[in-house]
Amino acid sequence: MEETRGAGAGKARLRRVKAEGEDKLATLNLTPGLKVYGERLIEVDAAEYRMWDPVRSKLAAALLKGLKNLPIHEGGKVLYLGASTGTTVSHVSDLLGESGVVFAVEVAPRVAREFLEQVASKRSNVIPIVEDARRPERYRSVFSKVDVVYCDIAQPDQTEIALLNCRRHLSAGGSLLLIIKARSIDVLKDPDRVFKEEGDKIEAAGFKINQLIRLDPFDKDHALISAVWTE
Amino acid sequence: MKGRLFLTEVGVMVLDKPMETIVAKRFPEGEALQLYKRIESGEMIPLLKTLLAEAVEKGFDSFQIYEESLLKAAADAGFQVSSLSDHEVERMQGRKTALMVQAGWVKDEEEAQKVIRDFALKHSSLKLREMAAKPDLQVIQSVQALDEFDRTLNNVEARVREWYGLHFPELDRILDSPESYVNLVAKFGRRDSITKEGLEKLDFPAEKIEKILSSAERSRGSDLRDEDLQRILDLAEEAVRMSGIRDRLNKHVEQTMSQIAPNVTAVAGATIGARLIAKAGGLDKLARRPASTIQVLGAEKALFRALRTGARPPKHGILFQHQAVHAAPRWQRGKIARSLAAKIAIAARIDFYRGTSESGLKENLDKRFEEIRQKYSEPPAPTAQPRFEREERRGGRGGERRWQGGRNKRRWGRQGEAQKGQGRGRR
Ligand SMILES: C[S@@+](CC[C@H](N)C(=O)[O-])C[C@H]1O[C@@H](n2cnc3c(N)ncnc32)[C@H](O)[C@@H]1O
Repeated sequence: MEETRGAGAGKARLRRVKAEGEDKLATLNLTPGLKVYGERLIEVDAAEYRMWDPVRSKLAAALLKGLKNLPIHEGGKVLYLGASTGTTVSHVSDLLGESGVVFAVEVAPRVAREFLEQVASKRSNVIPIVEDARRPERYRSVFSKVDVVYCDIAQPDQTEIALLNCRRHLSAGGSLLLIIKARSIDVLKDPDRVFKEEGDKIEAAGFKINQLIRLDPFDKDHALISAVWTE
Repeated sequence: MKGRLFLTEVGVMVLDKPMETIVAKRFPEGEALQLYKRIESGEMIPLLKTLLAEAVEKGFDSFQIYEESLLKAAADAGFQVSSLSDHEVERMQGRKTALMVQAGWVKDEEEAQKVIRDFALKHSSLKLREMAAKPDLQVIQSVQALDEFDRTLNNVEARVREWYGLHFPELDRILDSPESYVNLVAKFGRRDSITKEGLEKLDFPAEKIEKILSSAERSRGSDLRDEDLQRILDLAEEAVRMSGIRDRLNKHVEQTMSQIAPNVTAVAGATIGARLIAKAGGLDKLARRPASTIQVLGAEKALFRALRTGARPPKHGILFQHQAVHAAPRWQRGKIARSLAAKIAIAARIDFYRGTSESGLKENLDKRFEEIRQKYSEPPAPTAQPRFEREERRGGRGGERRWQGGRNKRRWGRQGEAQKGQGRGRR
């Protein structure tokens, strides 16, 4: 059971806690006292943690389903595509801590507004970008290469979009975390086949796939691919 | 030496290839977002021109620019330009925080990062405002409805006045206000049904009541058949009802304007401001227009004619409706319209880019008006009189300006009043 240790505070930024006999996740709250989506706040070792709900956040589901070597660390830089209202981004922001930064891209005005008000404006390590992920050359705020591109935009051509973003903004040796929703790519095809085909595209672009994790029962017909850019 | 133009959240800079020599211009406090967006959309703002000119002095002889529209604008302004590759921009973007420190804009990269984030928050929320259901589109509809409604109402009121005038011709002279006129007709019907108490209820001043009653008694108008009276009453009642709708529309325009464009409202008034927004096609568009365009918005016909025939260009369009312009002597109008337009341009930018209310704009403008009135209190000497020249060129054809002025005076007269917050009909 791995934990990301906060170098500065000496506090684990990610914790597994037992509750009601189950394994649960929690992240060290960057904004103590503030909740983002109604999650429970708990205290562990004199620090406040936010429970991380795997039903609401696919990254939490992937961790509970056995994702190893989460590439999001304290002080890191993440480009997050499809921020939506910021549920997952807020936990990524907790994991990165004050010294990290997450550039969060979202194009839909309604959710982006909520994201700005509830998450981006309250967390100093979140930089919002209201832009289409198909146009990574327009993200003016991205001031450095990132260690991780996280993509969850539920578009049929999202693998291509993710790769386009990697080429522009991912540093050599950086990681890609790609959420694949089989039904948004091809409703009729067998999900496993969709996952395999998308994985092939990623490998063809020079990535090495570390893990493919199915997210059921939390999300039906979803998977997360964790890959590293080797060229 | 080739320079690369780099637009950032704090200012613009020109760099050489190794990114050592830097010529930089910081955006003035509070204007970063606005100037950034204008540059991004390809506007050669003065700050940018100055920067490029300074860079030329420092030995840069041509500029590489990424933004396509800007590339063109810079070429048009006479600079040597070529386009900058994706790859090169990426290199600069990747060193942005360090470059900001190097330019002396921030003390360290941490501060640069903070500035970038603050900017991103403002930029994003502005973008959302632009994308969301735009409130200025609402104001455009309301003010256009108001103007159309006004015209219809004017017609109905004029008809009532003329028709009822067959029966009670003397009333026309006594009551100027179209609104009181139709109110009176709707309330009493025939002139011999008019009563003192009734008039008092309608809030007429005592001497008016006196006049109305005595003229009614001695009127030389003809009798009215019942069926004619009924139709006149139909119209008068309709006019009263429409008048209520019109007032509510007017109030709506005023309220919406004070929310979405408080500064334009303070400077130009709600209705005129709304008409300018409607003419420009949105607050965003108005905010991008230079003052010289705002000055003649609504006088496009005259402007195009001037371009075609070499006649004098118009001095004002919608702005003629502003009390300070149309009440001024002819020779001051152009100057007053120009300073009004300049203030409106500033106000629109603050409204759109900052969204906060700025104090002192109106006071400043009033002071400027006063200066113009004093400085140009006398009409110019005859040789300089524009009228002479215009008539000569136009061959005495009357011309757009006279026609327009005349029409506006009548048509906008009542709106001018509403503008000053008196409401229609001098109640
Ligand atoms: C499934 S939701 C993301 C949920 C989020 N990742 C979370 O876990 O909290 C997908 C989001 O991607 C956004 N999206 C879709 N296409 C996009 C595009 N081309 N550029 C940017 N965002 C996009 C949608 O508006 C939507 O908010």
